[in-house]
Amino acid sequence: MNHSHIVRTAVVFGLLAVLAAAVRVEAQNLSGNLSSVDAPNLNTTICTPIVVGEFNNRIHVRCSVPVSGIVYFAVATSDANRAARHLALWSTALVTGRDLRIYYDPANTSGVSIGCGASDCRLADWSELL
Amino acid sequence: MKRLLFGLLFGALLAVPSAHAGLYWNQGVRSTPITVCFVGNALTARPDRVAQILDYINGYGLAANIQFQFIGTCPASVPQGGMDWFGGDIRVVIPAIDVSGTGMVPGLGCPMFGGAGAYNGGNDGWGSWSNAPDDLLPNRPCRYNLKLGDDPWNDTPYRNHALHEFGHALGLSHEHARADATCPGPGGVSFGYLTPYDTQSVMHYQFLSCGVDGNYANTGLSVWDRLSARILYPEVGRPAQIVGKKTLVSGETANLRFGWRVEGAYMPFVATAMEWRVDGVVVSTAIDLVRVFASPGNFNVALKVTDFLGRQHNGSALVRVISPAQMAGVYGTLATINSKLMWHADYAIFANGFE
Repeated sequence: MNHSHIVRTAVVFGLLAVLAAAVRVEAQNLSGNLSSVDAPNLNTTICTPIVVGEFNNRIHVRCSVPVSGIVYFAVATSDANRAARHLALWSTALVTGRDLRIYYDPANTSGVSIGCGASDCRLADWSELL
Repeated sequence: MKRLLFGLLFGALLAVPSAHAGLYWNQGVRSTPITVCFVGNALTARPDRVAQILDYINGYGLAANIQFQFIGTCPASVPQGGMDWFGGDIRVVIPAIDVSGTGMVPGLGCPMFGGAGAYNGGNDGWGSWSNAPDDLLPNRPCRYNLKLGDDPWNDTPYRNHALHEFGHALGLSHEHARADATCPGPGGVSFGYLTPYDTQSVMHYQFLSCGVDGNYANTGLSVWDRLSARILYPEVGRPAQIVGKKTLVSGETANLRFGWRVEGAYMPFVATAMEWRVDGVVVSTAIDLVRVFASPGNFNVALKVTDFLGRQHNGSALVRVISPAQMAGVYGTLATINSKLMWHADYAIFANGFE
């Protein structure tokens, strides 16, 4: 096994470990919050990402198929840690041809303040890599 | 006791206009947008209740391509052919207004409850009911076509009660009427399943004996209620989402599925025909596309679904098949990007005590 192969293997395993941690964090948040979430407000959608973008104050993912007109999901970059976790999952899904399950409140249009339009965008509460 | 009495009354009266509802009613779907109005002086006599109902039913608009257009007080009849003709697709009557919601439904030529001049004695209490979508035309002479009570045994009228009646109006039938229902037991309807049996559905009646609150709860649309609404009222252009891993290593088996199926749709009813194409060639008519992509390349996968209403849904996706070495390169690049991203996230992981 040559040096480059070892490095590459280490990088791949490192990535998987990091991603697994990211997925676990979101999942932990989910299981911890589900019981206290008002059910009528919580929707999920399976998103096949076609675009992941970064803007001044948000990141967003565009899904291949809208739900009730909603085709973008965004996270504010004001919480850099959270934005980084979502961006890691979304970009991984995009590059590796995987899907996402996104949890969001369809009635919450507060994302307009960061450029997430009320007509086609909602804030993502949690993301899972499928 | 009072609650039981109302429940019995509710159930009995729902049977009068042949109401069924979580599974498909087999009586059409509405066009879009759907105009909604309230009869009589509801807007001035009970503005809070009107606002509450509109807020409750907004759940459908958030779940599917359903656009309720509120037009206020229902317009007066514009008679046609010697019969009344009332505007507003869903015309709601509620208690304590200047239009009686019991007895014959007003309207010259209204065929409900025996028809004009032949009242059959039905609709004599405050049990709620609603018309099916394809009743819109024959019941145009009727002043109202959805009746919604106030649940007076409870402090606040139930959210699910309003969603239940409007679910009927959208084309959903009673969930507990399904032959695979378990609460309180099997019903008689074995056709029209959109999703698995769902005790959380707003279209389910309350059965305290088996712990289901159904239409007398405030839980809102269940996950499968939302899916049912999306199946009946798909997105503009009827896109078919293709779900599954789309970047593969050569020789790997693809397992691609229709989005509704992944979310729980009951495919034997929902889809009457499936067609999967790869680069324009039909390769499968099965529900899922299970196929080995042997050699590297980019492949256009297209899906055409014909649903139970004869509508076609189309979608496509690019499947990239790459060599193991290329895949390692992809993960290597991702590792570089994500390790930088996760520098922040690592801190949060440890700070939150998840590791």
